[in-house]
Amino acid sequence: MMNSGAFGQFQRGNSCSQGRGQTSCAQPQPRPATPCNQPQSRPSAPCSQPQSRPSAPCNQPQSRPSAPCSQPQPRPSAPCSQPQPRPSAPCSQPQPRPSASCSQQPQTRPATPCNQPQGHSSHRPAGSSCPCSEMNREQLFRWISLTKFACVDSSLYLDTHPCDVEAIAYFKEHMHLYNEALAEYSKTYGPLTLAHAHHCDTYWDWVNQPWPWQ
Amino acid sequence: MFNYEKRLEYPINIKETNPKLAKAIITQYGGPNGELGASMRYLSQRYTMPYKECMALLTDIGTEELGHFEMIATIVHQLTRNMTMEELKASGFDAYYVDHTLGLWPQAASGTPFTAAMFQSVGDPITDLTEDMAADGTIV
Repeated sequence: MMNSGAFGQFQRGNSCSQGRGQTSCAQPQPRPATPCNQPQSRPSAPCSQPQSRPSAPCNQPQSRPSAPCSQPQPRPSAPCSQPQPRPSAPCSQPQPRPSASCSQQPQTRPATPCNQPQGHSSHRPAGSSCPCSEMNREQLFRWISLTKFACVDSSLYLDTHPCDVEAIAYFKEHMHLYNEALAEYSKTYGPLTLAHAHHCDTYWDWVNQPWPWQ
Repeated sequence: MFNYEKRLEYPINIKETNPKLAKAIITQYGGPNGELGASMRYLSQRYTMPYKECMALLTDIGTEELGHFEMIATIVHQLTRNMTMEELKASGFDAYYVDHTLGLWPQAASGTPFTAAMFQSVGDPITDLTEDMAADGTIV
């Protein structure tokens, strides 16, 4: 956070003419001085709603500065009190928006002998590991890669579109699939992360091969 | 902080030996527009971004680039691990080999070692993002 004591001249209401002639704050200030009147992206009256877990539609303004800094801001003209204008197919995933479960994404699912019915309800059956238990090692590993990549890609989108509720749902769904698959894999074949390295008792199998580059 | 997942972001299984190709590909490992440079660039620039969305984005991309760094290393490793002496001499990979044998060392194809001079981080968001475009924009 900026220590305003050292930069007392950057009080709100001041223009940016702190000895640099009458140049207005219409162009970026030379760094490393902080920009004029621009609150940091952590306002002192913080958004009461944790940004990363919106339980309601994100009706808080994003970290766009509210001070009338005349420096051009890359911000929308309205606060994020309504859904952001976005294409009807959010983010860049080709799959149809999954309101139901994984069964609607056959194109990402590896071929599996799973006998799971394809049209089950939108709620994941409690305790079911979906098709993970039916996959062999290679299939499960590939499934982990697929689901994690969906998470990584959608997380990059969400970083710049944090109010996109559908994208959050997409991320959550695929994170759930990934976590399931990862837990299943680590239990059976050995850990892929240190967080899953607790299945061993007499030998620290984290060290086992193959390592990814082999 | 950083966690590690024991998995390449995309699988790599190279069976052939091709040190000549490795000589070129290593520039994506330790060269000016390579993955290590990209990762260091983003992870360095994120501290002074004025918006939290930018901090998040640079952090996440910088992290992913480390995964790419690992993949390029894997490619070079797999292309060179079974070289014969004849292949080594014929390919011109011997100049690298004499200093590093089969080890991976971040350098450009020219032999220039990786250095922070290959990226910039000045604390101004517009400048930093322009630097990002200059480096990664070659791929876009």
